[in-house]
Order: sequence, then C-alpha cells, then structure tokens
Amino acid sequence: MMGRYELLLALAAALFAMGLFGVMVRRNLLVVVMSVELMLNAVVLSFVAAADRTQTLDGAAMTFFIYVAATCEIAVAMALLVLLARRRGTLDLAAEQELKG
Amino acid sequence: MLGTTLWLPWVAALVVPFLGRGTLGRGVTLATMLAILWLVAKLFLAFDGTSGLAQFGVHLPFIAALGSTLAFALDGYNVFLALLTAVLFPVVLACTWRTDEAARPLYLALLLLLEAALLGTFLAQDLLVFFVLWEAVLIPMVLLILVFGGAQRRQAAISFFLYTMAGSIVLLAAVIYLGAQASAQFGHWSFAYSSLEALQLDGGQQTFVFLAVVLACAVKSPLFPFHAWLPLAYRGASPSGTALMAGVLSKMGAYGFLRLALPLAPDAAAYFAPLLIGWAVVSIVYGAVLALRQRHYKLLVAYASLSHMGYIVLGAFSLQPTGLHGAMVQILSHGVVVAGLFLLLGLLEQRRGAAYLQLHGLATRAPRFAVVTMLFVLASLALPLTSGFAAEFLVLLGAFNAGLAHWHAGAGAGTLVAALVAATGVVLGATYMLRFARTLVFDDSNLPERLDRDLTMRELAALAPLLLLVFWIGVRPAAWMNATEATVGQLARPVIATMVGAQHDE
Amino acid sequence: MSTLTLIPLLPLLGFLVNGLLGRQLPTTVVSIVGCAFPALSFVATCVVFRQFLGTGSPLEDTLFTWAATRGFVVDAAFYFDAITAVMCLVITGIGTLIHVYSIGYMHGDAGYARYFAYLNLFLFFMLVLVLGKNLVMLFIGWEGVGLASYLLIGFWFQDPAKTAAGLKAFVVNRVGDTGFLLAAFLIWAYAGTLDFQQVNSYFGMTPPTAGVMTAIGVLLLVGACGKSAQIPLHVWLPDAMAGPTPVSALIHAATMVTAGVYLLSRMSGLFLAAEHAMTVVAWVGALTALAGATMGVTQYNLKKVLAYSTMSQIGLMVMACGVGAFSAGMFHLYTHAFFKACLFLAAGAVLHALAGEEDMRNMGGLARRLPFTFGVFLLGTLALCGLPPFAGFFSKDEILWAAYASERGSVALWLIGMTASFLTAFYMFRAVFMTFFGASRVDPHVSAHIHDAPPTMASVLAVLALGSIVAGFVGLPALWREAFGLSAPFYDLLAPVLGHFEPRADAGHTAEVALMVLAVLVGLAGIAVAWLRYGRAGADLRGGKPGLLHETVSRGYYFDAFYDKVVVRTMDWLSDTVLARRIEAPLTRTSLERPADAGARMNLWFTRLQSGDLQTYVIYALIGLAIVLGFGVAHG
Repeated sequence: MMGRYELLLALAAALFAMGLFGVMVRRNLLVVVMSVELMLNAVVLSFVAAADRTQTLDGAAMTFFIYVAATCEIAVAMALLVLLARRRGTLDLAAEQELKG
Repeated sequence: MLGTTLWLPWVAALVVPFLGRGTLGRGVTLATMLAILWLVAKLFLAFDGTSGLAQFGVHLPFIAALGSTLAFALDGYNVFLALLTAVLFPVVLACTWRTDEAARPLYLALLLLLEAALLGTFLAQDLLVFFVLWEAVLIPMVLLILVFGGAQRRQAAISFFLYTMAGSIVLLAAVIYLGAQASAQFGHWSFAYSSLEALQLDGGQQTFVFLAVVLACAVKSPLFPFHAWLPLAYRGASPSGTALMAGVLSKMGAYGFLRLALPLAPDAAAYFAPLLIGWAVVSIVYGAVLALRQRHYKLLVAYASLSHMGYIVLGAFSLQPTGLHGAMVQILSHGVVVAGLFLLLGLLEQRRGAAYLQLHGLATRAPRFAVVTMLFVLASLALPLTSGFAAEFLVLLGAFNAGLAHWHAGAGAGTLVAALVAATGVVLGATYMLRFARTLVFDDSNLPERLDRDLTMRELAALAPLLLLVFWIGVRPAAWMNATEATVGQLARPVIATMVGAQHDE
Repeated sequence: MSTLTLIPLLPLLGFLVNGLLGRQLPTTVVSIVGCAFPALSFVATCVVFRQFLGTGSPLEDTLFTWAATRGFVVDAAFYFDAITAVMCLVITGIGTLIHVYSIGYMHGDAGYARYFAYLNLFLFFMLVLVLGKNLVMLFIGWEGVGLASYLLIGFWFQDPAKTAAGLKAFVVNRVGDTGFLLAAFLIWAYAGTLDFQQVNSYFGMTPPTAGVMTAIGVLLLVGACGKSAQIPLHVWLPDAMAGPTPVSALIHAATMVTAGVYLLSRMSGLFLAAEHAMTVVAWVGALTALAGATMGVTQYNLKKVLAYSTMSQIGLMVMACGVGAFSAGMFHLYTHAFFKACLFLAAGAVLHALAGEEDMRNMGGLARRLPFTFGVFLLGTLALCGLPPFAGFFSKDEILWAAYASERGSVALWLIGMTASFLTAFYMFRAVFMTFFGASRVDPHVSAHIHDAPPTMASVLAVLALGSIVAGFVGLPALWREAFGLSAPFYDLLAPVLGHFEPRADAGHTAEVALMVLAVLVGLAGIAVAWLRYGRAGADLRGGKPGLLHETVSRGYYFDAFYDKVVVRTMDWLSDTVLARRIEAPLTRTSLERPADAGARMNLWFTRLQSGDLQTYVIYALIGLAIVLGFGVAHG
C-alpha cells in the first residue's frame, strides 16, 4: 500500500530514469539537453515530496535554487548549442568528439 | 655562520636573474660561491672532530605538528661533503666562465639553487628536511641537463629524474615510518636524527628502514645494477653538469649509506654488511672492466666513477675504523678527482666542440693540459701521495680485515674473497686510466688539427684548489681523518671474533 | 729537519725546479740543477752514514703521522740502518754518476728538462722506498718508482710502442703491488703494526700458523716479483728497454729492479720464520736466473741482452735470499749496480755512436772505432761473468756457495746457479764478439759519424769501470779472510741486521775451494764456447733455421704471448662482449626502455577509454555511482 509520498518519489524516479535514458541514448544534442532538464525536474519533484512529508521549507527553498541554476544553465547551454550548430551544421553528438584521447 | 652559508645561495639565486647577461651576474655568483667556500672553510677549521657532536647548529620552526624543524649543523658525517660542495661550485663556474651558458642568468641561478639544495641536504639534522632537500636537488639538476646538456639531453634528463625519483619513493616511506615510530615510542612526532637514532626498532623494522635507504642510495650512488641512468646522464649533461653530478650528487648516495643506513638501522646494517660488501665489489669490478674498453672519454670516466663509488660502500660496510675512514676520505677524494677529470674534458670541449672525443696527443700540443690531466689520472688510479691512494688503501685494509674477522668467526670466507677481488680493482684501475692517458695525453700519431690554446692561467687557477686537495689528502691523510675520528668510532663495529694477537679488537 | 730527511728531499727539490721551470731555463742550468741535487743527496747520505758508523745505532726521523685511527697508526718516518746505508749509497752515488752521464747522452733532446725532472723524481721515490720506516712508506716509494719508470720508459711518447711498454710496466708492477698490499694487510692483521722493526721481531718471536706465514711470504714475493722482474711477472723488463739508455742503467739495472731484493732483506726476520715461503723464494729466484740467462742467449738486441742478464742476476740475488744468505744477496746487489750500470752506459755509448742502432747484427768491429767504450764494456763483462778479481766474482761466488752450503740450499739450486753462470759468460761474450769484433756490419752512412763518448759520458764510464774492478774487495769470502787475515767490512756492516751466513756443518773448506775453482772454470768455458761460436773469423752470426727450442726461448717461453692472447684478450672480451653487450645493453633495456615502453602502452590503453563521446562518460559516471552506492549499501 503506497502513500502519497511514495507515489511521488516513484514518479520522480521514473522521470529521472527517463531523463537519464535520454541522455545516454539520444544522439541529438538538443534532445540530450531536454533530457537533462527532465532529470532536474525529477529531482525538484523529489524535493517537493520530501518537503511535503517533513512539513519544512527546506525542500521548497531548494526548488528555487534549482530553478535558478537550471535557468542559467539552459541559457548558456542554448547559446552553446546555437554556436555549435552554426559551426558544425549538425547537432549530432558523434560530431562532438574533440576531447577524444 | 652556518646559517649564512645556507640562506646565501637561495638569496643569490633570486637576485642573479635580474642582473642580466653581463659579467655582473657571473661576478655576483662567483662571489657568493667564494663567500660560502670561505665560510665553510672557516667552519671546517673550527670543527672539532674528536667530540662526535653536531656543531654550529641552527634551528628554525618547520612543521611543528610533525615535530620537524629546520635544523642544520656540521658533524662528522657531513663535514667533508660540505667542504666538497663549497669547493666544487666555484671551480665549476670558473672553468665555464667564458662559455655561452655562463652568460645566461638561468645557468647561474640553477647552479646557486643546486648548491643551496646540496648544502641543505648534507647539513640537515632532520630527516624530513633532508628528504625534502634531497628531492629538491633534482629540480635544478634536471633543468641543467635539459637546458644546457648535449646530444640526447631530453632522454638523459628524464631518465635521470624518473629513475632517481623511483628510488626515493621507498625512502619516503621509511622516513614517514620512522616519524610514526617516534610518535609511537616518544609520544610525539619527530624527525631529528638524534631522536631517530634513539628509537628501539626490532629486526624486521630495521630491515625495512635499511633496505629502503639502501635502495634509494644504490640508485643515487649508483651501484650496479641500478646505474642504468648513469651512462646516459653523464654523457647527456654538459661537462660542468657531469662534474657536479659525479662529484657531488653521487655523494648523496654515499652520504645516505653512512648517515642513514648505518646509524638508523645498526643491527640490520651489521647483518647485511657481508651482502653489501659483496655488492660493492661487484660494482667495483663491473665498472672497472667496462671502463677497460671505452673509447668515449666521458663514458670511460663515468664507468670509472661507478667503480670508485663502490669503494665507498665497501669501506662503509666493512664497519672497521680503517674502512670507514677510507670511505669518508674516498668521498672527498673521488669528488675532487672525478670532477677534475670531467672539467678537463669540458675545457677540451670548449675548445673543440664535440670533436674533442677524437682529440689526442695533448702532451705535444698542450703541455700544461697534459700535466694537469696526468695528475688527475694518477690520483684516480690511486698513486701514493695522492688522495686516491689514502682512500683506497684504508678501504681495502678495512675490507680485508672485515673479511679476515668473518672468516675467523666461522662466518665463511665470502667476505675475504670479496676483499681480495676488490684488490684486483687496483690493477684494473691502473689499466683503464693509463689506457685513457695513453690515448688522450700521449698518442701523437696523425694529429689532424692544432689545439687552439693550452690551459690558460684562469683555468689553471680554477683547477689548482682541486690539485691542492688531492695532494694535501694524499700526503697527510691523518690531518683529515681527525675530523671524522669520533664519528667513525661511533659507526665502527667491534670485530666479531678475537684474532691471533689482535690489538685492534677494542 | 735532520740530514736524514734531506736525503730524499733534495732530489724532490730538483724535480720541482726542473719540472716547473725547466722549459724556461737554459740547458746549462737544467743540467746543473739536475745533477747538483742528487750529488748533494749523496753528500747528505755520506754525512748520515758517518753518523751511523760513529754511533753504530740506526737513525730515525719521524716527520708526521701519516694516518691514525684506533688500532692503526702509520708514521711518515725515515729510518737509516745498514741495509739502508748500502742502498742509499748505491742509489745516490751511481744515481749521480748516471745523471752526469745523461748530460752528454741526452744532449739536444727536446725533452731535456723533462728528462732530468723525471730522473730526480725517480731518485726521490727510490730513496723514500729504502728509507721508509714502515711498509706504507716503502709502498709510497715502491709505487712512486713505478711511476717514474712508466714516465721514463714512455719518455719518447711519440712512439706508440714506447708508451705501450710504459703502460705494460706499470700494470704488471701493479699486479705485484697488489700482492704487496695484501701482504701488508695480513701483517697488520696479525702484528697490529707496519713498522719493519716491530714486524720482524713480532713474526720472529711469535709466528702465527705456518699457513699464514707462507701466505704473507708468498704475497711479499709476488710484490718483489713485480718490481724485480722475476718469473712470472718479468715480462715488462725487456720492453722497458724502450726508455733512454741511462734510464735502463739506473732504474732497470742498478736500483729500482733490485728493490725486490731489498724488500726480502728488509723483511728477513719475517722470512726466516716462514720456511715454505723461503723455499718458494729460492726456487723462483733460481728459475728466473736460469730462464733469464737462456733468453739472453737468443737475443740480438744489445740492450735486451743486458735486460735479460739483469733479470738473471736478480734471480741469483733472490735465490740467495731464499736460502737465507740475505747479506750475499745484498752484496751482489751492490756489485751488480756497478758493473751493470757500467755495461748499460757503455752500451749507451755504442748506441750513441751508431745513431740509436741496437741490433748487434748491424754492429761488429767496433773495438777499433770505439776503443775506450770497448775497454769499459769488457771490464764490465768480465765482472758480470764472475771472473776473479773483478767485483762480480766475489758476490756471485758467495751466492753459489750459499746455494750449496746453506741449511736451505741444495745441489739442485747450486747446479742451476752454475748453469746460469755458464750461460751468462756465454751470452755476454757473444755480445762482446758480435759488437766489437769481426768485420764491421755497420750501415756506411752511420759508420762515417762514429765517435767515442764525450767527456761527461767517458768520465762516468771510467768511474764505473773502476768500481767493477775494485768494488768486490769489501766483501771477501770467508775462506780468503781466514787465509789472509783480512776482514770483510761489507758483511760486518750488515751483520747486525742480516746476521752472518753460516754454512752447514758438512760443507767444509775443501768443498768451498773446489766449488770456487769450478765456478771460474765454468765461466771460462762459457767464454770459450762463445769464442768458438761467434768470435772466430768467419763465424756465422745469423745462425741456421731456429729450432723449436730456440723459438720457445727467444719468445721468452711464450709468457708474453700468454698474457697478451689469454689474459688481456680475455679481459677485453669480458669488457666488450660480456659486460657491454650481454649485460649492460640488456640492463639498459630492462631498467630504462622496458618501463618506458610499459608506460607508453598504458598510455595507449587509457587513451582508448577517453573516447570523447559524452554518452560513454555518462555511463562511466553511472558505473562509478553504482560502485559507491553498492559499497554504501553493503557496508551501511
């Protein structure tokens, strides 16, 4: 018998797993970034669930930090993506292996 | 006074790079080195060798939590090494005075740093400080090879650096272990030699410390088969660098044997002594036989040096007063003689470039050169009245006596046989050094080119202190032995068995 | 500083002056400096000798402590007793004469100052050798004279053969020196001192086991063999003739090579307690005497004949020491110095006249052209052959008598000595006949310039020839002393140190007379055979096709070939092939190149992990996370 908290955590875990799966297998850089966002949201959801359960504000406060960080991140990431797409003409990850040893 | 000798080269090394490429930088460097020599010489004369105590000590805080202090002092172990270092550096600089490298502030700064680190290594009375400086010596030396070396200098520098570093890793483990033991036994960490010598270590612990020190020193000295870096490094470095490496840096290994292996793990040292004697003899004969057929002058002297370093280890592990004295004198003697030989080769290289390796017939073309070369050759083959004889005589006497003692004690004839084999090094030494002299000095056939100039007065003056030491030690070794008498007394082990009519058993 | 210390120090001063300033000084000054210091040294020796005779007790002078640590103290000290007196007088006296001779001989040589500097250096070390109070001091001189010998043999270093000869002399000597060092170590280990007086008395009173005594004695003998060119370390002496002839006379005939005999006599106290070692000494001496004499027979080089003769004569001295007649050995050393120096210098005058020609086959008939040189050479030869009343007769006869009559002697030793005497007379007169008699075979170009020795050389030759005649009268045999009521000052002088030689009880006067007559007859027979073979008109000097025996002997019994082909080659092979190629190269590979290669391989391996693909890295991160979490769960 699962309560609300467990359901929410299960949802967060499912979202995180989907995001992780996306990061791991999708070749399009844009989709990878989207998957990262999905993972972030999963984390946010778990924070909220925890805040709800403990009846404190710590989890909720964390949510705002994460959104701020995520916003900044998406702004930089999008800029980088645009630049990369312009330079290489593609967003395929296979083209981005300059750090290969 | 001791403190001044320690900080002066560091300060000078910081100042010299700002003095430009003129003679000013060289002048300041030489003045610094001479000032250090003067100070060390004064300390040396004031040093009381009969007390067996560390003298003129200076202490500064270093790492209080580990009980490590910047403690430096002159004692019977390092008194010759400090003098050797102080003498060789100005000589090396004076011999390279007019070369392109001496015009570069980097070269001068590196020399000063090297001298500073070496003096610190030898004078340190704290094992941690010793280790830090022991490793620090590598930095200026590797840069000297890398920047100012000859052909294959990159390979030489890297193999020298990595090889000796690898040897030192175990030493670091031993250093930490000893500090921890001090913490366990005295309740606080300490790296001072005096307290480490007071540690109570059982057989296994001593064995670990001993083997770690021996490995590091066997690489540094070097001893066969840990000498693989030596031909490469001695050939790759510039002659002045080789002179310093063979003259002083190799002595760090010898110093390690005497300063660390013997006093810190005395029982293990006594236990392993026959093994070390055998090892040293293998090294002596190996280097000597290899030198027999070398046509490359620098390699010949390099292998000769390998052979001569073996005598130090042989004397040290004879654990006899005579052998230990011989090892001490050999440290000084070999440092002076081998540096002299390499510097002479360097002076030839300054005149003829790489073609100096084909040079011969000095006696006809450059009589002064020939005479000075012959003097160093004779010292190297241990002719009486030169320092080499005093050293080798005492070493062989000590080794022979140790062998006889072992034999009488029923411990087998191995050590005695080793001492006898070591004596053949005397014959081999004469052979390869005279073959060297025959080609370089006397071979007068088909001289293709003229030598630009004989030894100049400056060069002669630069080498004179080395010759002075060679003959001073050779004619009156007793005057030198006094400086280390008490220390040797502490290191010497009583002969195991009583011998027939043995007056020297006490 | 006492006069005693001045004896060695004066030649050292001469060396320093000529060695440092010689090239700037005019030749006359170089000659004066070069000869004056040895002469002064001779004067100092005479002064000290008078002092010694006056008090009758040995003189000592301790300069400073050479080395000292617990249980080991060696002083730099000089000691002057009867043996030293004999040696010093010979060294400084004959040394000075040879210096004077050299003025004429070396005239005009480019290395004139260098030559005198080396010669003075030699005297310094030689005097340290004989004056040293302990084994270390002796060894300092011992190796020092080796150095001087090396430098003088290779004096004309432009010739690679000469520098090779010098190198060979030094290295072979070093082999002997190693034996000497080991003997010194053993002596110290047992006696706890290296001082001669204490060593002799220690081993005389309380000798350790026979094995130890034999070891010490044989090791000392090895040292003596190196310096005194005894079998098997004699191979350097013939080659040493590459040096200037006065050097051969001084170093390789009169003084340095006899140092081995000095050493044996100096350690007589020890040797008398080492029975087995004495036997070895006697036989090594006897075999060397015989082998040297046989090799002398086959030589055509005038100087080499003399060199082998020196080797043979020193063999006789060593044999004398071996049978316990140390004073007879010393006496022969003393007379030999005169006549062998005389012979060498006369040979030098011949060489000088013939522009350096040394091969006797290119000489002949020189008696008329060089009458004075011929005269002194003949006197020296007669002395060497041991014919009365020349110096060699008395000393050689004493040795032969000792070889027969001593407790340690035997008929075999005596026979070998007699055979050597016969051969000596034969090859010496062979040399005389080939050089001075018969038709001239000299190159006509050279022949035109033949001239007898200049005054500096001639006067020295005259003095030495006189010495060859009269030097023996200070040591008359016991038989003559009793018959004529005379004394033998030489033996009386040495008696306190070396004792009087006492023959066996059964060796009476009759035997001594018989042996003496026999010795003279054998000498005459040798001369006669030489005349038949080489002296008669029309004698064939070239000889027929050499047989196997002749070949063996003339090649020095293949000792040289053995050392060259076996010992030296083996060492070089070890160095080149075994150590350099089989050990050193693989060692460099395993300790430098292999680790470097391993590093490079690891590098390759890790590079592959670094794919550059973002998603691979995510997987790595997940694996890491899984490990950490797994670890936490397992230990949580």
